[in-house]
Amino acid sequence: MRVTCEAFWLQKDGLTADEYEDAFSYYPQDSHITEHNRFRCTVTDGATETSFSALWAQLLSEDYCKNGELDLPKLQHIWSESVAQRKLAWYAEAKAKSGAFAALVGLTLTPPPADHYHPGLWQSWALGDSCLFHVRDETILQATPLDRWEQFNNSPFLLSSNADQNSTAASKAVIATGTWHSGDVFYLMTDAISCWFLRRQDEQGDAVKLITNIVDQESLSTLAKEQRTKLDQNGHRLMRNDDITIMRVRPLAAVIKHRPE
Amino acid sequence: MPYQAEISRSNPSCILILIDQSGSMDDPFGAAPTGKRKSDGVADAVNRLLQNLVIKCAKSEGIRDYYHVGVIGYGEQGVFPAFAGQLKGRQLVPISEVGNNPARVEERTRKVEDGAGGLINQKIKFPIWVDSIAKGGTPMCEGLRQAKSIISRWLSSHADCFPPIVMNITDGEATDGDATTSADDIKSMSSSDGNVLLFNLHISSSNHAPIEFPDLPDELPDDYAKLLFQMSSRLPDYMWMMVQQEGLIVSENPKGFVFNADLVSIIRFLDIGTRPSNLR
Repeated sequence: MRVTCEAFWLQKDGLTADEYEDAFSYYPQDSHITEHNRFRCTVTDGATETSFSALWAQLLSEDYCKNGELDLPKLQHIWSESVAQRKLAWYAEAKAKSGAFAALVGLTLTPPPADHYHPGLWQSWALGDSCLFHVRDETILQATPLDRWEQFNNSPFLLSSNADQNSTAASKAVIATGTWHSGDVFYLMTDAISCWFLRRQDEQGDAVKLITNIVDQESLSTLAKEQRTKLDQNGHRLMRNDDITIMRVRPLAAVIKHRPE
Repeated sequence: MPYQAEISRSNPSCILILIDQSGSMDDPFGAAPTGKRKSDGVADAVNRLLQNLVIKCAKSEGIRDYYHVGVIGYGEQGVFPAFAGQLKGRQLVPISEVGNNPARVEERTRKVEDGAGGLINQKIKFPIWVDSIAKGGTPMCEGLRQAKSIISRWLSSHADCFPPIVMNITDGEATDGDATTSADDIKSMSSSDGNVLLFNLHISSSNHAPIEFPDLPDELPDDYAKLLFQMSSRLPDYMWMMVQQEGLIVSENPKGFVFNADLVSIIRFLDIGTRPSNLR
C-alpha cells in the first residue's frame, strides 16, 4: 500500500500563526509515502475558550497516531506537568484548572489482503466536531461523526486534559468503518471547514471540487478569505472564522481482482 | 440577523456595569441571617462578573482584549467610576488591564465535593476590583444617563461591534425619578449588529426564591422588581439557546433580569469561540 498524505492549515483571521490551536499527525512519519502495513493519521482541534489547548491538541494527535488509541491518564499527566512548570498569573492559573479541550478525528487504513480479492479497510474514531470524509469520484460516500451541516454548534463534547471533565464525553465517541479502493480520497477536517464543506456540497454540489483544488497554503488562504467574508441570507458567514486544518489522504493499492468463476 | 458580530481583538465589544452604592444597600441581603449586606452582595456580584470575564478572555499567553469594561457607581457622591486600586477613576478599561490590576487578591474558602460524598473547604483566590459602599441617595437615572454617554462614545469608534451590554445591579429604589426613560434611551442605541442590551440584577432583602430570566412580571415579589424587569432587554435568540443548553428552564421570551440570583451566567453566554459542552 502506498499512501500520500498532505496537510494544509490556516489560523483564524485576525490571529497570528503561533496562535493556531489545531494539530495534525500521521504515522509512519518517515515519508509522505509509506509501504508499511498500516497507516494512521489524525486531526485535532483545540477549543478557543480553553487555555494551553494547542499543547493538548498536539499531545492527543501524536499519541493516537502512534498507538491507535489514547492513553489519556498519561497525556493528562504530561499536560499538567508542562503547565505546572510555568509561572502563571491568577487568571491563567484559574483557567488552567478547568483543563484544555480538543476534538479529535483519527483514521486508520489497512491494505487489501495479498490475494487482491478484497478491498482495503478503514476505521475512524472521532470525538467532537472534527470530521472524516470518504470521497470517491467527487462524491462524499461517508461523513463522520457529523454528516449534516446543521449539526455543528459552538459547544461540542470534547476530550479534556482534566479527567473530571471527561466522564460525559467518553460516551460521545463515534467509531466508523468501511472499505477503500484505489483512487479514493479521505479528508480529515476541523469543524468550520467541515461545516462549510457539507453545506456547500448540499447547496451547490461543488465542495469536493473546491477542496481538491487546494494544493498549497495560498489556495487555502484564497478560499478561506472568500468564504469567511461572504454572508448567507441570514447574515451568517458562509465559513465561520476559525482555525482550519485539512488533511488529504490518498491510499493506493494494486487493482482488486475479480474472483475467478 | 442581529447579535452575530464576531468579538475579537480587532473588533472588541464593551460591558458597562452600573452599581447602586446608596444607603439602602446597607440593609441585609436576603432573608437569611448571614450578616451580609446588600452592598456586600453587589461588590461580590461585580467582582465575580469581572473575574469570570477575565478568565473567559485568558489564554496561555495572557488576556485577549475581546472586551473593554467599566464599573460606574451611583450613590452619595453622585455618579463615579467605581474601580478601586490602580484603575481608580478609569471609565472603560481593556479587559487585560482589568485582569492584571485588581486592587487586591483575597483568599476565600468555598465548599467543594471531596469525592467521597462529603464536602471540604477549598481555598480560592478572589480578586477584588470594587469595594462595598452604601451611602446616600440612589441617583439611578443619572447613572443610566452617564452610561448612555459612555456607550455612545464607544459606539462612535466601534460602529460594527457586538452590541455593548449594560448590567445594572441595584435594589431598585431610584431617588431621582423614573428610570424607565433613561433605560429606554440606552436600549435605543445600536451598533450595526443590533441594539445595546440592558440587563438588571435586583438585590433584595426579600426571602423570595431567586428568579432568573423570567418572561412575565407576574411572579416578581415587588414593584421595584417589576420596574427593573420592564427596563430590561429581551435576551437575544442566541443567548436564549445557550440558557437552554445550560439546562435552565426558560420560556421563549425571557428578559435579561434576575432577582437575588447571579448574572455570571451571562458571561458564559458571551460567544468568543468554541466552548466545550463538558466544561463545567
